[in-house]
Amino acid sequence: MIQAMVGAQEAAAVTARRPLRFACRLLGHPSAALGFVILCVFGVLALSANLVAPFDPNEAHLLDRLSPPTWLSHGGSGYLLGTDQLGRDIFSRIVYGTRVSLLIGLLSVSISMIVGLALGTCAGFYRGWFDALVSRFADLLMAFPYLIFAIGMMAVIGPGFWNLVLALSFKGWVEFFRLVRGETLAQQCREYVEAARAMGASSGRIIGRHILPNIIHTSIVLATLRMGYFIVLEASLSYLGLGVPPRIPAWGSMVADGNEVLFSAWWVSTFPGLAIAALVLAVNLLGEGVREILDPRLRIG
Amino acid sequence: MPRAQEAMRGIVILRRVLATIPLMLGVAVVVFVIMRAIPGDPVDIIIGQGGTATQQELDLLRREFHLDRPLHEQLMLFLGDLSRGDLGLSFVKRRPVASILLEALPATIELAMASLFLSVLFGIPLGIYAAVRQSSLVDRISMAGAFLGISMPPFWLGIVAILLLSVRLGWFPTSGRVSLGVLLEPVTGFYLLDSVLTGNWAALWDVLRHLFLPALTLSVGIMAVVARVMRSSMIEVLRENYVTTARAKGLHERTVVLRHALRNALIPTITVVGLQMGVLLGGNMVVETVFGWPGMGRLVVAAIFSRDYPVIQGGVMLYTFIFVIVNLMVDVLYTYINPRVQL
Repeated sequence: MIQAMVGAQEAAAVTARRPLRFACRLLGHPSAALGFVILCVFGVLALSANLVAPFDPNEAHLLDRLSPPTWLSHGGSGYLLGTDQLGRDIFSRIVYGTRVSLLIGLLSVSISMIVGLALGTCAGFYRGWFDALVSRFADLLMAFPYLIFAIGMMAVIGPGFWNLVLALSFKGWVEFFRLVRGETLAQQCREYVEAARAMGASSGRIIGRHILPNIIHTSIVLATLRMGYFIVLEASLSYLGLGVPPRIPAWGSMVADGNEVLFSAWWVSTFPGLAIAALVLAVNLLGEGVREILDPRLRIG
Repeated sequence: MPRAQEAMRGIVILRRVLATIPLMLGVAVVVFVIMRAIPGDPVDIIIGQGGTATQQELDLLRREFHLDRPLHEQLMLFLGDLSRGDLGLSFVKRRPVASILLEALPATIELAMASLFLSVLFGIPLGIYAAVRQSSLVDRISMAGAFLGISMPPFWLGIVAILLLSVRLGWFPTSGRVSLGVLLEPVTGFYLLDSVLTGNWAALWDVLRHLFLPALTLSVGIMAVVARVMRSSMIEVLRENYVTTARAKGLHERTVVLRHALRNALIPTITVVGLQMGVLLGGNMVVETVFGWPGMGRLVVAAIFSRDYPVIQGGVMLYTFIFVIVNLMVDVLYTYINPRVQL
């Protein structure tokens, strides 16, 4: 048992040193590094949108409606990626739209992960009626196709930033819950948990200080892999007009705006869509890298 | 022994089928609860669209939609109606929601089946080839392509496809299920089937041209996932002892891969296809909107803007039931492919 305790202490020490080693390995992984760099660019754009964007995203230049990008042969004057029906600068709107996509992706994944971790560890540790109740509810939510559930929910609660986060995380925690619950069940029979219990540690301490550090990496992997999907979901909802209110520029609703003028002004919907694809690609590249480094055996589609 | 095994399988399948009943009931309750979270009274919404109404008319409407009863009674009435296949009346069209949705269902199923067909048709061979020729140029290109495919939002892919293949090259129509001038006798509502049944080959060609782009758009993401999973599970299976044995017997590599390894490698792929059906049904709604495809998805999206809650509620429920049933079918199929599996 003493050996097991020493083992646990060593494990804790390794966890403490891990972040730095993890960062080094991530940057050494070519595709993950690429994803990380693209993601950083988007992050900087989001933070400094008011400095980078040449125009106010909602400023309408009515004389320059549907002006083509400057670099085209028949390009208009001064709009890098052209303008939309109201003469708003598409580049500026894309820069500001980064905020919505990144924030909603990050927030809904984090909330899903935290809720999944809390419920999953408790359900796996205490079992009993709590586990049965939460597990059945999770099964129920799993029965819904994700986007359809989110669409139904947004239709009821209406558009809005926090409503989007709510609609995405309302079902998002389920996958984390299932993963964490299974891992907790497996960890519970391990010697180090028994050792902690023998030393008189409280349940809360066993969960928080002993089990959690040993299972959290799988949740981190799942979170990075899921974030891209959350961003696509947000964009899809915005595309359908169920995202943030129209005055906030969001990539999905920009693509929808361009739909109406697809045949005359292709740039209106093409560039915001390209931005979505680039961001999701970056997140997915990073996610694959994180998975290969932290947990190569984990199989998440 | 085989007969006992058959009986066991029958019991296992029956148990799985029975388990879906409480699940569907639960789904209905969840949908009911969420739909009751609508701020305000649904009757105000109906009147809001129709103009002014007297108190008497309001009361009549409330009674029609059971809004004068307590909530638990409303739930019981709702479940009772549901068990008879009654999804209520549309606020806007004033017709039964069930018949509105059922009219649009064949279009949705036709699109979903076509994209599933495309994803499996290309995804599985691509995955097998990439696994057998690991690290070859084809492997690298197809896996990079699959990665891109997973990252692209389907609605944008559809728009790019329309721009390039319809507008620029003029190969495909931009929207709809069939051209205006084409006469097609409705038999089943599935236009592909209808045109074959009536022997209308010109219509078949027209329907195929309309179907191709939306189906392709919808299938790209799933095709990518299928190819990736197929590749990794095939690589794993090819390392198994029985594959080495088959090779040692001097069998041709093609026989080893297609007759010995494929069956086991397909198992994870089928699971993933089942899980992807959720993505397929959700993407369906978006892609139908992009291509003006007259299916359930477009109907529900239109209902959101007219705040036609019974249609939204019925649509969400019907999509979910389809998803549950497809997953059930995948599980049953599973027992046939992998006899070791216990549901």
